[in-house]
Amino acid sequence: MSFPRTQPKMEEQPLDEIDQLIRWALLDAVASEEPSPQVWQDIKARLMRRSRTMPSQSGGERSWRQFASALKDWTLGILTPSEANWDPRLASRERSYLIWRENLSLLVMSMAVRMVY
Amino acid sequence: MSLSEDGQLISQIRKGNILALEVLYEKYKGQVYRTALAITRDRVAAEDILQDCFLKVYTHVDKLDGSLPLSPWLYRVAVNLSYNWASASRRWLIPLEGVIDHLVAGTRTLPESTFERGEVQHVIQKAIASLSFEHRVVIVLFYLDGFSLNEIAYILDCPVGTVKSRLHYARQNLRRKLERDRHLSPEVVYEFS
Repeated sequence: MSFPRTQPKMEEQPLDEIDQLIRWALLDAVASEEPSPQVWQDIKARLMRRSRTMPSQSGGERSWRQFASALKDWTLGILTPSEANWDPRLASRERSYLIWRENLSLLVMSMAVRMVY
Repeated sequence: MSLSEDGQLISQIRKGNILALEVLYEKYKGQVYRTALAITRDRVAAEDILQDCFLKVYTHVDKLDGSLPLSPWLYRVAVNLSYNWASASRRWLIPLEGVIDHLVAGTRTLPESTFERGEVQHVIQKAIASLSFEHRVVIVLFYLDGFSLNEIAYILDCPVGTVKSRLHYARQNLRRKLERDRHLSPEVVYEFS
């Protein structure tokens, strides 16, 4: 939306004493007012406090969080097929190999997720 | 699309650059503070609103469109925060009768001295303050900030017709109350304009 700063469009309302009085009174009341410098200091302090208590939302960290989230989803996703692989018809050595391989991959992924979070 | 100055600052804020936020703050602090002050008539509240506005810029920076100027969004936030403040403090119940009594009790001569001008100014401000929050906000955005009806409609997130209606009734209300007592004659206006 185009939003240029404009002067009051007085043509939309007839200009009369009320218009001028209102404008004069409002301008006179606040024209010389400025916020105290403390306001910015307070904003900065609150942002600092927030950054200490909350995870940073910088671009790099955001990417890590997205990666960790995807990794977690993938880890959860492979749990279902791993159960299917525990087919009793498989030879016990083969089944053990599959179970150990999946356990190991789960352990590695779990450690990676913990490191990121 | 090339980013505006605000857009470049917003993209810096997204990277966590607080200095960019400070530049934006310096650019808009006066406008936002004076608008909040005109609406609330309370310096502490206006400073709190200003502070919360810029904390929201930082918090919601991912949702801001860098190709658009920031000021409409800032005004929208400032008005919403002012509304929250007014609702919480219930300071919108200044009886207009008191203002009128003050007008009637005052001198009927034109305000020539500084004291008299101050008196007239005080009376008009109290009359404006006696308006409902919705009417007062429209009056402030239209007369103080110089926004058009379309712009005010965007800030208040309501139809232009609603803004037009609120402005009309607010002016009519002020006119009726002030002119009825014939304390403020047209000459007063030209004195100050």
